[in-house]
Formats: sequence, structure tokens, C-alpha cells
Amino acid sequence: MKKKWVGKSISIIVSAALLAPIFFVILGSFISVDIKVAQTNQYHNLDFTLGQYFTLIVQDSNYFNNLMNTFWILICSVVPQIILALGCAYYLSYSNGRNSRWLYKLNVILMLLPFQLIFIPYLFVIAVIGSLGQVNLTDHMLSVIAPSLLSPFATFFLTQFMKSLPIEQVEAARIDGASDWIILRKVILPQINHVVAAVAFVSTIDIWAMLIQPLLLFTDLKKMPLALYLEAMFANKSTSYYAGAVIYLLIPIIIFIKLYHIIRKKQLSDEALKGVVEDEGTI
Amino acid sequence: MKKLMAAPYILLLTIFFIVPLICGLFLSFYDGVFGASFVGFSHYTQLIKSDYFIRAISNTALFILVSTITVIPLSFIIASAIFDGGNSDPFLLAPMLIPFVVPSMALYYPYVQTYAALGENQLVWVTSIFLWKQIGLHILIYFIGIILLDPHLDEAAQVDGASYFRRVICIRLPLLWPYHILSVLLAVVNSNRIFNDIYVVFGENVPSKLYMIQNLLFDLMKSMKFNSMMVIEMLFLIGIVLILLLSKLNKKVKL
Repeated sequence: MKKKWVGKSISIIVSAALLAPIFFVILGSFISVDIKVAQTNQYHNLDFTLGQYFTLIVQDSNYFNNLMNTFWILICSVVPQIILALGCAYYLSYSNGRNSRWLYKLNVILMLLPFQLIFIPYLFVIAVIGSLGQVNLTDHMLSVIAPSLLSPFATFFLTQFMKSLPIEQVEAARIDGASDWIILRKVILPQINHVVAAVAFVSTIDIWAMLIQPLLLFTDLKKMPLALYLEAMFANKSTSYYAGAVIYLLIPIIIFIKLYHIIRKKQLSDEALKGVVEDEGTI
Repeated sequence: MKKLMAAPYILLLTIFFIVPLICGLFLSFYDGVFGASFVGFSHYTQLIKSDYFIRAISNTALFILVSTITVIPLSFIIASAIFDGGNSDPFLLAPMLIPFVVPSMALYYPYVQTYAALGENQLVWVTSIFLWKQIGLHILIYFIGIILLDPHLDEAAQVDGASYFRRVICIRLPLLWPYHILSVLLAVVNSNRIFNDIYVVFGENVPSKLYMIQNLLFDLMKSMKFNSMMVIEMLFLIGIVLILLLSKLNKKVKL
């Protein structure tokens, strides 16, 4: 008989070891820290305090301004990105023409390219627009939102899942007179909503941690996303850096936990449904 | 209607990728952007001969090799240990994925202190950061792979008297072949993410041993050297297309 506690103990130990640096940052936000001292790893004052959060909330208005900038970039990028990817994935899954096959291959190539290389042509577009003197996209949210609208990974992933669904469902809906839009919305989407959530989450963590694009395109402290502002915080030896870092890292973790519950719920309901079907079969 | 649904994606793909890429192909043979003069393969030869390029390529190759060699066996061993220890619920592994979702910019002090603790050994430090962030994902992949394996094979080998290690090496390891491929692919693709972690600690003054291809691209982007950037882009594209063609050819030969 297998000893279940061995497997659970190993997973708990590995998880604890992997989460230790994050606890270290969270712990650091509750002590009064002199940044110069923190760099040498010698804390003189280890009293529990909420001082860092107080300083951040009361004195640092830029922090929340930049947090909101990141939220706006996130919402304006992820929502259209998923809608566009869903439309394209539907076309790639249910169209057998030569064009769709070429688009699929191009999408795979784009997915394999490192992000920086996908960003190069985009920078080229910005430079051309800038040199033509029409629009200056530097320090503009649109400059980081526009390239994020295109996600080859999201398209590829959604296509793979749509292809795995039974084609008979789509054909039946089409015979009943449903348009492609209705099929996508009412037949396909309810079956892959957990996959859409997972893909949206992967895009979210990418955009949340985005660094190269803002580094190249932002100079104004008030307009930049939070990642760059945090860099400015530790460069300026801000005493509330830990508190800022904790808020910044907890948001993706909270979204991750929410996603975990969605997928867990879906798995449990699938298992329950499978059980009911099997029971009916036996009867 | 289907084409109409894909139209916005195709439009953006054309504006932001295909058109600039075609322009870029021409630009890699020209000097400058507007009113450019033809220089042939001059940018290609300059870049390939430059110390920065050679350093970036060799450092990136070494990093990918070391990190892949480390992360894959380690994650396989941990996944096997968890599964054979009686845990078959992948949801219990969810906390291991948290380092993967945490943004690097929030981890400045843990990174700096790890770097100091490792005696400022740059390759060991960068590999340990990669391991810390990625190992959860690889453990999960192997764990799911092990769950999906047919248990009868293992049971049959056990009845025949095969030891635990022999069963793992002769049955589990070869049967997980697709998961090894997936794991290697993910390790290579995710090695691009290390730029952020290196930037958090060193900023733009990256030590020579940590100067990767992403740093070279970043420097070229910052100085707006489009012609050289496009050369790298073209070299990568040629490499990927060649790999895809070879894999297709391989399939045809087998058929």
C-alpha cells in the first residue's frame, strides 16, 4: 500500500522551498528597513511595523498612479487579444483552405521567435511613424498596448483546444441555422472557457511583468507602468520598496489562485458528469 | 464569415509583422532607413565577426544548455518521487507554479542576496534563478505525463521482478518521450525570460558572462540600429524555417 504522506510531504517541502524568497519579500515589507543596510543583509531594526505601507499609501502618489497605468495596459491588451485570438483560432480550426494552413504555419513561426524579435518590426513601425512626423508614440500607453494585441501563443493554444472538440457539434449547430459567431459564442466558448481563462492568465503575467517595451518607450515617471517605477524606487533607495514589491507581486498570485479555483471546479464538475453518465450506463 | 472573424488578427499581423519584416529584409542589405545605400552582406559579416555577437551567442547557448540539463532531470526526479510517494493529485503542485507567475522586478533583494551568497558566480546564479522560476512548471508537466502512463506496464515489470530504478529507467523514462520534448522546448523558449531577472540586478551594466542575445538585441534597439537588428531577425527566421522544413522532410522520408 502506498504511503500517501510521503508524496504530500515531498510536494509540501518543494513548494515551501520555492515560496521562500516570496515570503522573504513579504516579511521585509513589515519591518522598518534601511535600504543601504538591507543590501548588506544586516537588519538592525526588526520591529514589526506597517510603516512601509503607510509611507507608500500616504506619501507616494506616483505608485498608485503607475499601478493604475499597469491595470489599464493590462485590460486594454488582454481583452482585445483574447477576442482577436478566438476569432483567428475559430478560422484556423474550422477552415480547411490553403490560406488557413499558411496562417497556421506563420503563427507557429511567430510563436517560436523570441519576443524581442517580434518587437523589432514593431519598433521599426514606430520609428517610421515618428520620422514621418505624424504621431509620437513615446510615453504613450498605446505604444505598449498595440504589440500586445497580437498573441501567437494564445491563438495557437486556443486553436489546439478548438480542434480537439467534436466537429459534429459545430455541424449540428450549422444545420440548425446558427451563424459562425453564434457557434463560437454559444457552442464552443462554454466548453473552453477554462482554457480561455488560462490563456488570458498567461498573457496577464507577461504583460504584468513587461519590462523591455516600457524601458525603450517610456521616459516620463508618471506615465510608465509599475515595473519601471519599482526600478526607480530601488534606484532611489526608497524605504517603502518592499511594500511596493509586495503589492506588485501579490496581484498575479491572487489571479493565479482564482484561476486555480476555476480549473478545479471545472475538473470536479467534469468528473461528476462522467460519474452520472457511467451510472446511467450501468442502469 | 469565418474569414471575417480572423480578419482583425490578420490585419494586425500584416501591419505589425509582415510588412515591417519584408522592409527589414531589404534593410538588412542597406545602410540607414530612408535614402539608404546598398551595402550587400556587409551588415551580416560585421555582426557575425563582432565580439558582442559571438559573446552573446556563446553565453546564450551555454546558459540554455546548463539550465536545460539541470531543470529536466531534477523535475523528472521530483515528479517521480511525488507520484511514487502516493500523491496523484496534480492540483497539489499548484503552489510550485507561483515563482513562475511572480514578476522579477519585485524580487530585487532576494536576487541580490542570492548572488552574494553564491560567491558572485554568474552562471550558477543565473541557472539557480532559472531553476527557481521554471522547475514548478516542468514538475507539473512530468507529473501529468506519469499519471497518464498505463500503470499495467509498471505492474507487469514489477511482477517480473524488475527493481524500482530499473522500472523508472527502462519503462517510465522512454515512455515519457513526448514530455521530454515538450519540456526541452519550454526550457529553451522560457530561457528568453531571463533577461528581466538579469536586468533587475545589473541594469544595463551586464557582466560579460551574462551578456545574452536578448541583451545584444536590447542594446541594438536602444541605439536604434535597425539594420543590425534586422540581420539578427533574419538569421533567427532562417533558422526556424530550416528546422520546420527539416522536420517536414524527416516525416516525408519516414513515410
